Amino acid sequence: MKVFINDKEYNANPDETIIELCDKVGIHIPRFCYHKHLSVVASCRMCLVDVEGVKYAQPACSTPLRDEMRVSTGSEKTKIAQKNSMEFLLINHPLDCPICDQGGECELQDISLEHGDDHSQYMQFKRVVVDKDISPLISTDMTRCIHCSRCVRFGEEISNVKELGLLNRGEDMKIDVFIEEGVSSELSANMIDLCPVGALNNKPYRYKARTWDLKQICGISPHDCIGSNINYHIYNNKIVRAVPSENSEINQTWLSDRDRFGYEGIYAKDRAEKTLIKVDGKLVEIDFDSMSHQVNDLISKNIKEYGQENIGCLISGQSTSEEHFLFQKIFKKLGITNIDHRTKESDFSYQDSYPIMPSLGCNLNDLKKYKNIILVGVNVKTEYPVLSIRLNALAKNNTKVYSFNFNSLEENFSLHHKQIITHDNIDLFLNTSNFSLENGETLFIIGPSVSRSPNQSSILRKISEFSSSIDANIGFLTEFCNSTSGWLLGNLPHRELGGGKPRQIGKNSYEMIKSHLSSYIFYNLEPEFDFFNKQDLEHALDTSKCNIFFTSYITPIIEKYADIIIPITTFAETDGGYINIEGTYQTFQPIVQPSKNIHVGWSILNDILKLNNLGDYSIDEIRGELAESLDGLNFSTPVSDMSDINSNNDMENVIVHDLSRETNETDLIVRRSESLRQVSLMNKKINNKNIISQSDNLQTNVTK
Amino acid sequence: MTIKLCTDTFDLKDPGSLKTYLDNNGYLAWKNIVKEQTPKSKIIEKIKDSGLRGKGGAGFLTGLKWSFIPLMDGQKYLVCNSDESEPGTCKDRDILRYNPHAVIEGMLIASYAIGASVGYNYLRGEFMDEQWKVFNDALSEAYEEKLIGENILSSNITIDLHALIGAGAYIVGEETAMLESIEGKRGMPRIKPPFPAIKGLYDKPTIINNTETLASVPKIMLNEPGWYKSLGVDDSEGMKIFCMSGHINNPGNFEIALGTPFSDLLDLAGGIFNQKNIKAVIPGGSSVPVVKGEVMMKVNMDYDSITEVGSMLGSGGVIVMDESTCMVSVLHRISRFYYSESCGQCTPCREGTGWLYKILTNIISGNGTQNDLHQLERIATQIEGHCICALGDAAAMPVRSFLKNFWSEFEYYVDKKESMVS
Repeated sequence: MKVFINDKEYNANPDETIIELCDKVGIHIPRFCYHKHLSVVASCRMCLVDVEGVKYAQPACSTPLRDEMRVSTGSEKTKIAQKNSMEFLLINHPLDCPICDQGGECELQDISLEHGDDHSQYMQFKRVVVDKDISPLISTDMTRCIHCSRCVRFGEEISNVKELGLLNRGEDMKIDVFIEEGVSSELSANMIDLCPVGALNNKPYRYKARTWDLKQICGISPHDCIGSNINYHIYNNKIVRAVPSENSEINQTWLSDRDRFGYEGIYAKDRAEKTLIKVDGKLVEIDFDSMSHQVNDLISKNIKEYGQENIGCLISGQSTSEEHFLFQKIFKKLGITNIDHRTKESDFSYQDSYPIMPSLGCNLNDLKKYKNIILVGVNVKTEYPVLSIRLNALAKNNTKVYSFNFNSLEENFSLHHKQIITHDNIDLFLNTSNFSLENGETLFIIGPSVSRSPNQSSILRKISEFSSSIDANIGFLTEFCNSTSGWLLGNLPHRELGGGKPRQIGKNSYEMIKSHLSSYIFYNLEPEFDFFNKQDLEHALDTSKCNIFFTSYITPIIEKYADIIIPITTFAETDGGYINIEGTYQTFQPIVQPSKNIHVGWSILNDILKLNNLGDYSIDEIRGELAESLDGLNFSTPVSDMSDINSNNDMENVIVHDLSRETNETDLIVRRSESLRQVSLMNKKINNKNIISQSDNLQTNVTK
Repeated sequence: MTIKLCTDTFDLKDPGSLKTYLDNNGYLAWKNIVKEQTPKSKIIEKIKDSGLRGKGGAGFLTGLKWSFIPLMDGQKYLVCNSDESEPGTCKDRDILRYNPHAVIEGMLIASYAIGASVGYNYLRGEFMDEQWKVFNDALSEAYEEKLIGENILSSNITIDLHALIGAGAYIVGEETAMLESIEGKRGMPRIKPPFPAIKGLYDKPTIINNTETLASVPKIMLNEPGWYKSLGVDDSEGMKIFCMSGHINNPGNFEIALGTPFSDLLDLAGGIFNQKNIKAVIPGGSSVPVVKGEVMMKVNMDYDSITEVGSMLGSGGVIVMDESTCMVSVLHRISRFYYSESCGQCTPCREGTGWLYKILTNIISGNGTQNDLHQLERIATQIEGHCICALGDAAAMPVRSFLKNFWSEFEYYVDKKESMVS
């Protein structure tokens, strides 16, 4: 279809609107209510453009292109129409830009400068809207609202949690919470980005900096295995806020609240900032530079005194791929076989049949090819909020989503079938007499609750058998953002880097803890939360002789049992990379500089490697070797056969309990984010209130 | 004998009852259609030929509208628009009160013609006390007589009709806002295209007609082709109810043939109150441009003639104003209406209606300036044509026409800080 924009010929697709084509070819049209991922409402009237043959200027966002259509985005008629819309938008908008956080990155400000008039004819009173405290994450100045309704449509269409709505009509129309509970969904802060003015702003960032003073560095989400791209904004070597970095393959333009505010955890009070060693039962500070020697001496001593088989090495699935690479390199070369990253698990009989690396089996953008998506042991809404956006879109578009989970948590997309796995139905939960599948391809997505289950192997086998019978594919969602690297790079007792079999199979994490080894090395783990059983761990630490902690935080257990504490960098202070669940390796650079006593994780590991004459790597060399080992691996082939899993447990002996985890308690950094803690508190309050009001209803019913 | 179309039962005893309606050839057209299984296209053709135009305001050809409905199978809907809220208009309220069965029969014929199995009559919230009850009673009566429902009159035709009541928003009278409201959403107009005939209620093809339009359908179907056409004049065929209000002796609804001189209509309504002189007339509900009295006296009441004098026939709400009327106050009141009834969805209407009203309030309170008058003119022009629905235009047109026709009166008010007429 041939169309003319500003007298230049373009090819347009049928159903394409003026604004879509203009965005594609780089012709700027001002807009407020239009957003490429939201429905078109054509209400702001800022995108009015001159269409030849039509009396009045037409909204570019809702006007479909026709063959031979002639549009002018710069004609006098367009200019006047846009200037008029701008004038209307500004009459009730407070001109408080100097005290508004949006100033400098405000769409209204920018468009006003470009398309508006330099003075207002409006001489009457302006509208004032009373503010409400709706969320610990979002500050509101609703007087500034220009009623574009992007935030409302986000709730209705994207997150599917209707939190904000339009109240009243005409000039009295306002955006407000219509159930007086506040905004608390896992994706709520995206409304901050969507708001084109300063009505909804980032509360924790409020008044901290002006946008033009910020430095922006892109990072990768360390909180879930989706690997959302995040732009961190830095002021005086401190992260002051995070915003999504658009990546159409992964997070599109969205970000979960956890990814957005999780960074606060790196400024926690219990951050390890001193190198400490235990001397006569007391932790004393040692010299930064002698650190690597001290650690290395301790490791050598342990090997000599207790033997390799009595040392256990555990690393977190949240550590970077580079750290994973060096960690296994050092300890495997030193002859230690007890290496694992699966600290939350307890049943490992599946491990030999497991794929080389857990992956979704397809790219996020390819999920749409599946007619059935069966979720097992995962609550996507709370655990992988960004993925829930995808599933919501799919569920609306003829993909049937089924959920089998150990709890009854709600999802924010429509489920075709939902079943709670209980002790009684575990053997039957994949019985097609209970639910019917659509014709077409089927994908199982196995979530972290399954891996946390003490009967993981039985469940995996069951799923595998069922999936082979219906020719379905199997994909995984992992506990940590980089559990994938743990698997692929061989931080496992039974596999080498790249999946090869070792000469000797070591103990898995659960056996290491249960068999009370003489020495433990922990990398980036929080003993209080990151293990299958905290009590077992404490017993093990009680009896062990030497505990080496590479950690970013000093927790009470670490303080009590550590023989040496090596303060290491978090994701924000180091070069690194994560392999996301699609198998995409995404690297990042340091966002801020670590404080002076903190060791860069990969670099201290490299120092130890060097001291043992086992090698010396630069970050690029590590990445080179990593890329080599990734090369040729095809993650898009989903796993379909794990039916040879030897399970010790029969389905009958399965123990079922709630294996859910709170959104904001998934990893050690998020747990320390003050803003997210406030959200959790608010949610608890709301839940309690609901429980009380429900029991009130119950009582009144009884009295009736 | 004067012909009455929608108002023929108005003066009878027990006007809203099924018996009265049946005694006046009621449901005859519908029974014929059911008996003969008249082809749908034939009905649409007959309505098209009659020249029946929508009586809600826009005056769109009803038969043409029906023919837009896609022919394929699938759920379709009919909606009767009884959300009569245009200031100055009161015809539908009387039709629903005194002739509800005509509306039902019209809805049945229309549903049948477009292939809809469900029809909704959306009544304005203010009809709660009387029309809502009368219409629902009439529906029950018709259901009992098997005129509606499953297998109508033992045929294979099934049509269900329901009455709905609004919550009192003017904007829901706009057809797509009405669809939103029926769906249980905020009453806010949709973007067009797609038009309701393609994607309407619950995204299904939907026809929306005014109460008076549908009430006219049975008589057209019952009579010979060409009968309805013969009643009016070219391009303004048939009859129209005019709701006479204002400074007249005998206000009320008058059903006359289109093309009747305004002076005759005024005589029917008893002429101007207290023998004063006529000053201005709003011929089609408050949203259409005002016309000077002396101009209006020479105009015939049909679509073309009224357009020629710069106004519109609209909904037929004729507001007559005598020489004692302060035009500034009238405009102020009209502006207040549109200010408070704007849905708030799109910018020019949401912000502009408030601005107009605030300036007029300023003028009324004696603080106006000459510049304010130019501002009014400018703002009204900025609103017009730039909104999603016609409410923006409805707010802008009175302002522009009042200023155009009575500029000196506004100037006087601004200068002297008092009305020219008081």
